[in-house]
Amino acid sequence: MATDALDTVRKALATLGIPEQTVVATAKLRGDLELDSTELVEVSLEIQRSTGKEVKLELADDLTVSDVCELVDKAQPAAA
Amino acid sequence: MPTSTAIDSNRDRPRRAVVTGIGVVNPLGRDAETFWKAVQGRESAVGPVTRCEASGLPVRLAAEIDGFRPTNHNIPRRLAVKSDVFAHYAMAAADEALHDAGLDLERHDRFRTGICFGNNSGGWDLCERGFREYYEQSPAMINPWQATAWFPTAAQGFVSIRYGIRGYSKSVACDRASGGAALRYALRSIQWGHNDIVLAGGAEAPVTRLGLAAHVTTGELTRSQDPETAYAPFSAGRDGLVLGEGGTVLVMEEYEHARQRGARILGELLAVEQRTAAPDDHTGLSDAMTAALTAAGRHPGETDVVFAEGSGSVPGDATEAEALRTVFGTLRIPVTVPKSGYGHQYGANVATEVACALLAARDATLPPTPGTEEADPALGVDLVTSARSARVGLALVNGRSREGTNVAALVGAAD
Repeated sequence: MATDALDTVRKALATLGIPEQTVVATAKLRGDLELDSTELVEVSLEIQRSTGKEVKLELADDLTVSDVCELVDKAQPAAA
Repeated sequence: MPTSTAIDSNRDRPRRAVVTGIGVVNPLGRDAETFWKAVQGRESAVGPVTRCEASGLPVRLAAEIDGFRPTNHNIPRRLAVKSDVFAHYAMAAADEALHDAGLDLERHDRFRTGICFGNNSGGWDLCERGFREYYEQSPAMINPWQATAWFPTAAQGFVSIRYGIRGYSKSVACDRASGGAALRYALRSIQWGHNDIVLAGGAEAPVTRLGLAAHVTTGELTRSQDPETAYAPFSAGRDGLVLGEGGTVLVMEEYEHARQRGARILGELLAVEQRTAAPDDHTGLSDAMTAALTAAGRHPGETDVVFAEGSGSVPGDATEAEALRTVFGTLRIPVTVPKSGYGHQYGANVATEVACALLAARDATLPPTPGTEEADPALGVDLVTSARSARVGLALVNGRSREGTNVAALVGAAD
């Protein structure tokens, strides 16, 4: 898990008001952090705003923070 | 059986609704007591629009709330992020009202606790953000709360999420009468036995560029650029209202429920009646006032003060003055419009003035009408232009919409 990706995900979650100390690699977005569907969309948008990469989270299974970091690492920049 | 007899007799007994808590977030103060002190001091929060760019608009004045931070009002940051300013005001006012009432909702039936709020404009702040995202970025970049935070029921929704409230609830949007109509539902939900507790009132946050532009088209807003005299209800030179923002929440409780938990009772909402008529037909409002007095078994002469709608338009105030003459005849009942100091709040209208009436009863004072130095003699209204000491046992609070909804709320002082 790249540090840059973790930082990106942490910042995206922080904008929603998710306490930083709860954002650990194994934390599930829905099950542990209790994100609802709108918050998942906003995390995707925030990642896109900060990295230019398109990562769709709202349709996926309950991903962990580590899973999201992997998606961010692998994702290609979104088409303009 | 004795048991069923007891139930039936309880059912026949009219359920009374008392107010046990007040929460106010207002241009004149971010809590009820600060607000009330400013109202009594004839202060005005009317000033140039600073919240948004008003260039190119014919309206330059508003009453804005300065220095409001949702997280200073016990609103979880996570809820604040996904909601609009008007819902923030509602959550903040609800928090103060519950605290003021000494009410811990954890100890009460969530299914017998409701919310009745007024709101007219919805969440323009969030809408404008969505428009920028849509037009300047791409349709895919619109924030996900565009769907859940802008609409007028969102204040009710976020307060219900915040406190886990699940009882009979309503959101009402009917222009300037929104807050008054919400109080009517709140009262009935207690009288009819749906709720024992209701958070009642409303919120409004229309001071955005688009919100202002939309309100300009109603023709209700003054074009004046003088904050001192811009909103001058019942004056000879009146030419419209100044928009205000904020939220007011009253904790309304069924009387026995409040008594049994030892709550401090601030007063009683005796009746709220609503009548519809053409805007220039005074009988809509006079019928509403008469119906409220009749429902409570009171006579017009028992009224100590009227908190008028006072929309500040030439025909609007003339119609209200005619309605007052119809109900009160030659009686000189003091009339006041404190909202001329904090702007017209649409969704929180009436609720804020009911709060004023309760505090006026507590402090035996009639709050003044800041915008008006002298009432137009042609209207025949005894306008309170500076604070007066007076016993307030019974107060009428009026709300009127632009197109003819009239609400009259009757407030009684605590026993």
